Amino acid sequence: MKKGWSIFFGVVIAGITGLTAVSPWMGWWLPKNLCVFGKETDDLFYLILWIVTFFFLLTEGILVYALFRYAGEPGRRAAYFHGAFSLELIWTLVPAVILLFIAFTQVQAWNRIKVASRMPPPDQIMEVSARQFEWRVRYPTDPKFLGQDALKENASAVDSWGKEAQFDDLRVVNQIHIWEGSSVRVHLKTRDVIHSFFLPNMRIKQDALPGKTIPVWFAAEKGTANTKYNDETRKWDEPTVDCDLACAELCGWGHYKMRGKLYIHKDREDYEKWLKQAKEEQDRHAVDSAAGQP
Amino acid sequence: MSSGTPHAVHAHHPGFIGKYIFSTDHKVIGIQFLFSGLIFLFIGGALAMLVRIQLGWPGAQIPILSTLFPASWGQRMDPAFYNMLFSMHASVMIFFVIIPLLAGAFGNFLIPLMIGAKDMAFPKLNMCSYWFMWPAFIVILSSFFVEGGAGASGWTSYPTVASVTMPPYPGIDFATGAEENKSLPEKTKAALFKDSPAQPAGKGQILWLVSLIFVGVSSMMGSVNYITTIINMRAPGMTLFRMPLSIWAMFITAILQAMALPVLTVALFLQLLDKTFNTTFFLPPAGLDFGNQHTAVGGGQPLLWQHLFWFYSHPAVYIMILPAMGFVSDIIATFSRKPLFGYRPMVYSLAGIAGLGFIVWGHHMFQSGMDPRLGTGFMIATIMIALPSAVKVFNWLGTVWGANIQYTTPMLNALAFVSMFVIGGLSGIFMAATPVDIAIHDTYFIVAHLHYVLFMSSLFGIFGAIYFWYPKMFGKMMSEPWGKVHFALTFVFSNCTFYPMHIIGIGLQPRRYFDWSDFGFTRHLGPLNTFISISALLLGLTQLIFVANFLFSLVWGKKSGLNPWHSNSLEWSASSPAPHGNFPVVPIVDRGPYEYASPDVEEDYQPQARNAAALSGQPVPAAH
Amino acid sequence: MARQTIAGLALLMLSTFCMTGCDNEGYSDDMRYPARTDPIFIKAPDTQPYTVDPPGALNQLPARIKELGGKILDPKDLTAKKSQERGQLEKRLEEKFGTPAHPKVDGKVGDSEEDLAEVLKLRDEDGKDMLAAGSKLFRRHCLHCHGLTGDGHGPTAEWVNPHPRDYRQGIFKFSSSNQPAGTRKPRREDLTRTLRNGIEGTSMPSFGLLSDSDLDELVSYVIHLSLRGEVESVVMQKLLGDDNLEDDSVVAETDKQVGRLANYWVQAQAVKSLIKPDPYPGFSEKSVKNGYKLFIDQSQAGCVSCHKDFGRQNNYKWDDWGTIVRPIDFTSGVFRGGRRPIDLYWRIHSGIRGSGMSAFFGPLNSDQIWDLVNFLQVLPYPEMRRKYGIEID
Repeated sequence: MKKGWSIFFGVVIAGITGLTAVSPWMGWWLPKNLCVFGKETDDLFYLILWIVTFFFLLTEGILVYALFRYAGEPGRRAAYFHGAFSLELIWTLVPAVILLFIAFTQVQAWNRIKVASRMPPPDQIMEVSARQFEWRVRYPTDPKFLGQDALKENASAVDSWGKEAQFDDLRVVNQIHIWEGSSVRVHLKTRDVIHSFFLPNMRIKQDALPGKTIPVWFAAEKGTANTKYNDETRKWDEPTVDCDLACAELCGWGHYKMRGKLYIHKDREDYEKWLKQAKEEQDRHAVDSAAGQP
Repeated sequence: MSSGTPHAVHAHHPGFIGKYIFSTDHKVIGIQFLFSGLIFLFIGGALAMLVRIQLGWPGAQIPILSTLFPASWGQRMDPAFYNMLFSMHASVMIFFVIIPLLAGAFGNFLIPLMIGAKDMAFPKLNMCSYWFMWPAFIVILSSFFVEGGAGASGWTSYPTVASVTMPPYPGIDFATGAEENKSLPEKTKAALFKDSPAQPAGKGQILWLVSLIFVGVSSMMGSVNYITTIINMRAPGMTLFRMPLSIWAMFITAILQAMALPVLTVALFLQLLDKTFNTTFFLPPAGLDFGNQHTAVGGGQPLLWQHLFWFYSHPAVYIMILPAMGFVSDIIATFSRKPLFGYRPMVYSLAGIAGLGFIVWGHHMFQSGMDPRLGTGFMIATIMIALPSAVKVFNWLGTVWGANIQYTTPMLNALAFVSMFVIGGLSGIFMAATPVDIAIHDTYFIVAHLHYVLFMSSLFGIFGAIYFWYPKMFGKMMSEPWGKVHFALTFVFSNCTFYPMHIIGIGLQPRRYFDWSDFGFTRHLGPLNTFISISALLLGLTQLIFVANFLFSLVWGKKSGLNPWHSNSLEWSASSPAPHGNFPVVPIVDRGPYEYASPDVEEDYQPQARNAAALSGQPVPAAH
Repeated sequence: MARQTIAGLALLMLSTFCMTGCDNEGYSDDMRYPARTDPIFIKAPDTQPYTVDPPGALNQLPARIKELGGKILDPKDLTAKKSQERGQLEKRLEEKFGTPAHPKVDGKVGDSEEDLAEVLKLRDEDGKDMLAAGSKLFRRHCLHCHGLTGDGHGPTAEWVNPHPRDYRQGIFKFSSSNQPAGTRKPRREDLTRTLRNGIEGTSMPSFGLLSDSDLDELVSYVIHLSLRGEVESVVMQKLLGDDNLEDDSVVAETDKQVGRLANYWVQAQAVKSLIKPDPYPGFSEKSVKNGYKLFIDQSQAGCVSCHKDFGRQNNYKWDDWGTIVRPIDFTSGVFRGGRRPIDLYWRIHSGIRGSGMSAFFGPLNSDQIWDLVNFLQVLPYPEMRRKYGIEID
């Protein structure tokens, strides 16, 4: 039974290693990445995963082996040594080098995603105001706030747009509309408690703080469009790839309900078509008598 | 170095209350902490079981359990109730279980015994530190029963969801606008406990804050005692570098507590003031809107809380692991029958973890809206903390290499600590990497990591320590076979519960979600969630074996004798259980605590004290 | 021993994967709609409230109303004799409306032979019952605010303000039906719109991510709860007020009320009930300025008498549910019933039932209402106000 304990440990370790190995095949793995900087993030994840897996197997392997080989026997005496300076040196320096490598290799990736001055010039802006328990999104419909050139030219107008709602803004709830390749700049706000704007497929997350407007950027890779106009229903189809928006900071009892959807249009034209249709609906003043409803 | 001559036997006879209830004996106090800690362990565990029941079967009618919920809730758990469950689970486990067990129970029990002192430096202060926990116990338990339930803003209690209250209308009644009318019923007057417009648990949150303030004061008293005792009251010959690692760990932990707790206590007071006196430490200038309810205008910053809170709570996680690391070192050396590998590196790495632990708190706040450039600094320090932790793991491997391993229950638990801490530590590297943290922050990956270091490491360390030092505490042995059954089942079930959390965390399933089944990116993770829940329930049931073993052995356990494990440190030379005053004569220490398999003696162990044989008060055997 | 235990457990673990299919999302079969025990609000006190009730005070309101001179009827006051009749009421309600797990609406439209459930679209075209599906969705998404019987007293209700709607008055704020104020019900589309868009500025979130069929089922279930609640409330008022019952029988009275009240719902759904405004004259400075004049002129619409200072200094008042409201602040840009011009038209045309906003069609014609609508759209935006010369300070 004594050696059996090492086998016991070994079996459990093997079990969890096995689970990790089959998970990607079972579909229990990272959601599909659709973001331009997502690949860098995922590459870093995999780099760490391989390094960590190596050291995991190494240390657990040595442990299980030692538990097996050195299981106690009556009459035997253990070896008598207190340490080994050379070993200490090796297993201090080698991990240190690896860890410093991991640390410094990622600094730029973080800066590119989060530091405001490093964000690329936006092609579109929107304001997302999180509240208990939904996402209120405000899109500009004025052409001077759409497209990279227009936004650059009207930078100060963008500032005041950010501070106050405009007459011709489109207000939508729980829907984020972007187009492939568009660099999106979100002005993230909240009027009640801390929420967190989380798009798993865009590998972006940012807490919303009451009292602050925080800039967030992301962009969908080309070829990732997930919605198109349906001539029959006269609406845009539900996203083919489930691109969710979720809240990622406990904000009260409805924290789990704050589901939004991300619609990625195939190009700017399609996005503008949606914007126009949605604005028309917001400006509706007529009633469709035959259907009995607008 | 106070005692050169034996201290005269106490003339007082304390009576039952003085001996077992309001005792100043560190051993009694330690056992008091042990019992209360274990009771709260079961409360915290029950809360976790309820959490898992909801998460395993989110919409469903659970047989029997559904009927316990009121019809007005649709006979299912209410989301506000769920938020309370996980918030209180964490709060109870951290502040009422792990820290009191590691620092309060074992710190108290072991320190004087292991360094050869009669008691702590300040025995009355020590007694106070335990009894200050009782107001905390009463307040936290009563918070479950106030209107709105116990605190439900997470154990992290972030403003503004935790801290906001309605603005005051002093003396003005909402329904009439008239000045306070004495004929109006009491409850219409301004409530003593403020309700929150953000969520139901406004009153519960206030009690949570008060309770934790008491816990903090208790811990600060304890840490002052430990530091003083360890520095000043070591027996002759017990140099700092002859102390067992358990004592080094307790010493460094006490320094962590003394320096970090005041910050948490202040933060708790600030939030308490915000909630009761309508100060605005955490309320932003423009105020907040909750539908028809608007708070007053503020002048503060919600982010301030996060800095203050994590400045303590990060060192807190090291407070929750360092003692266990110390115990594990002692247990592994004892049952490897071999000296601990790398004593000084082990001490330095404890210090390194603690020191670095003070400059990494921002890694909890990478996505919080704090300036991202600060994130880079915190990231580098955080990644470097893996280094001393890795050094410790390698040294434990070095200890079992070439050993003569005795697979006793304490040893198994200690080995589980080592193998599971590897996983917990390695998973930490993912979240230290800031771009990856963007994706995995506030997901189950974090929950997996924290349970691997808290349950799979600290709690196995605690179990190991209980099985190991039980004989010294009570003079009896716990049952070895049942201890092994408890260990094996706990090890399997806990891995089945917490390991898959890494997988659903990689799937980016958010934490603190009442119902994950609504979202496209988490719906398919259902089987794993259910599997985790079933494993968790089995894990919970398994702990009943431990309770039974613990309680039965108190009465019917085999008598342990002085040193059942043939261990070297000073406490094993005292009698089992040790008497008031610990040692009848002053121990004189000749060597370090890990002289196992020494070629100098015939046995494979060598107690630290030169006069070990005289320390138990038993007749000294004829010289041999 | 440990090895065998582990093997056995591994098998158990693997078998648990299949258990994920075994869940039942609905109410349990033995649940009943509980009898109403909370007071029925009849009339508000004359005194004006100072502000909204603080969090957690919802249940105190009936007692306060009574103290301050308002009128409530408390089911606890039913005498022993009446309790028997009350039992008959509950039994009849169950026969007509079913249980939470198996809801139904059993009745005919008025005196005709038309089935109520079909006319109100509580069954879909294929005859499939929408109510059971709606009840599952309600339990999952709505119950914790709106309560099991739609009483607006779910577990989270007292902590949010405005409080969740109590369906049992049969009063809904946002309706596009042109029925007279006392009997107006919302059209299905109004309820769907509320579900889809949420109510901005309140805790009613948007459920637009649910499918169209899910939303339809929820609307049907809400209508069911409202009808049931209103019937119970009306009959109970008669019992408490010692009024004469139809044929001296609780059962007959209940049936009568079901027919009467359901009829209003049926009327609301008719195409002719939809408020159809005259064509929109367009957005122009003249229209905006005219709207401004109408707003502030007491002899015309005189909106400013309730929406004091354009809404910035409104007084609180008691509404028809016995809770506290106040007129909207137009400078905030938040319109709870919808921000589209047509929504604003409907609110001004027929008022907002229950809240004290009266109907203005009659005193105002369609064009004047459009002028007000244009003005309200400009009002929240300082830039636009400057452009059109609107002074509000």
